Amino acid sequence: MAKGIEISQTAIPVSSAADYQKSLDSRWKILEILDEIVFTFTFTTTSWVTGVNYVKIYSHSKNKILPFEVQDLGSDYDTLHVPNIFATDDGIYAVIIHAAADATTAITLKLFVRIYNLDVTATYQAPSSTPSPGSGNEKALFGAEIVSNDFVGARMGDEDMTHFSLNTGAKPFQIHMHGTQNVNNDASHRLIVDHYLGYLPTFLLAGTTDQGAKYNGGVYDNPGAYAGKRTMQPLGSLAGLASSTFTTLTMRGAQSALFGNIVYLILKDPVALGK
Amino acid sequence: MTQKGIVVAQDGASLTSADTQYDSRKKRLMINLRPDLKHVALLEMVGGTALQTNAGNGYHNEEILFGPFPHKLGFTPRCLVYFYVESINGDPNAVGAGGYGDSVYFYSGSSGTIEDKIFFVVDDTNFYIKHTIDDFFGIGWTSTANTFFMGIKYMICSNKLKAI
Repeated sequence: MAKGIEISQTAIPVSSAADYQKSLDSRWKILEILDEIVFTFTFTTTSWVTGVNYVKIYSHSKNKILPFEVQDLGSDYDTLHVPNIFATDDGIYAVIIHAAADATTAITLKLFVRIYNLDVTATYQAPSSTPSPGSGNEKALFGAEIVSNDFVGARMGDEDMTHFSLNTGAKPFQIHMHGTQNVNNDASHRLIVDHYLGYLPTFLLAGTTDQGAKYNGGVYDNPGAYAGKRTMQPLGSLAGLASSTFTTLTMRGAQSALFGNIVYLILKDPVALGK
Repeated sequence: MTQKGIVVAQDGASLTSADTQYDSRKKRLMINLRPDLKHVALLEMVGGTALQTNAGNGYHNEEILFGPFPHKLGFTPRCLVYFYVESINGDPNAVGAGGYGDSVYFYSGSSGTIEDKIFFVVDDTNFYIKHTIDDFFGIGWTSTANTFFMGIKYMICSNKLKAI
């Protein structure tokens, strides 16, 4: 590389390391966590409005749709009021439909949300890399570690990788490509991405809507000024059936067809190698 | 945020830009590569047995294919798992062979009446690979999982699945 930093995993020479054997290659993006929050909110018995009820879970000023994940931490809600959670370009919202005939039972949302710092809906492809022929194994005693600032007492040599922001004894998720594709443009509603990685890649998908978050086949407006804008569901929320050549990933829906705009994130990690 | 660490600016941008190419001070998902932990590996196994459901009622049947595998993290970790069909009935060129899925692979289920799948489960102690079949309307079904030979790439992150 002309400029930058390149660090391979322990015992693998930089010159012959494959992309998935790098702990850091500054030419490539790494899936970086922007924030992790626990969000709690209660809809009281008197706060329901007929129609769309929504609450903002997370705010940011990046003016782009950020990928996120959600895990329930023991929310207390009834079957009539299941939240639909999605991202817009200023944050993450939970939306719940309340019909006039529904009981106005109090419900509480308690969610863990991890937000990634990545403009995943925009098109991106990492620069290509060709490793030189291998030169054999090296001693496993050499490597680099950067202790994380988030753990008081964390030290070099710790075995817990949560103590490090970089460690050649660990691998991060390096990003090969991301973007948005309208699968309606394919007669079979497939997502087709040319990745040219030379192996079958791992990936994460998320659904989007362009008119608003969908609910039971219907469409309701996005919050406030975001009506009509694209929203995105949690990363990894779409389970599809993939196949790939060394150059092209094809994805179709499992149990239901893919529809509309799909956000894809392709990682520099082969699916058929345990490394 | 402390000023210690490595920061790499994006091409054409300065280090003062809000978004950098790399910033060691920020968190990211990471997988421990210690060989004794085996937090990243490729499992190869038959996709399950020919589990059956009864006709007449909704029915659920399941089996554990791998595990309990102790991950030794002390919390429930974020995992990425991919299920890859190496062959069907021993044929790597069969229709469906070469396909793979993120977190789950459906052997059958397009009709909406059957959900026959392989997937993973993780808790604060162990990691499992499971095969389940759900027959929502009780039509009576025999799983074809035993005809599949699967490669399973799992990655157990040193990051909590939930809660900080």
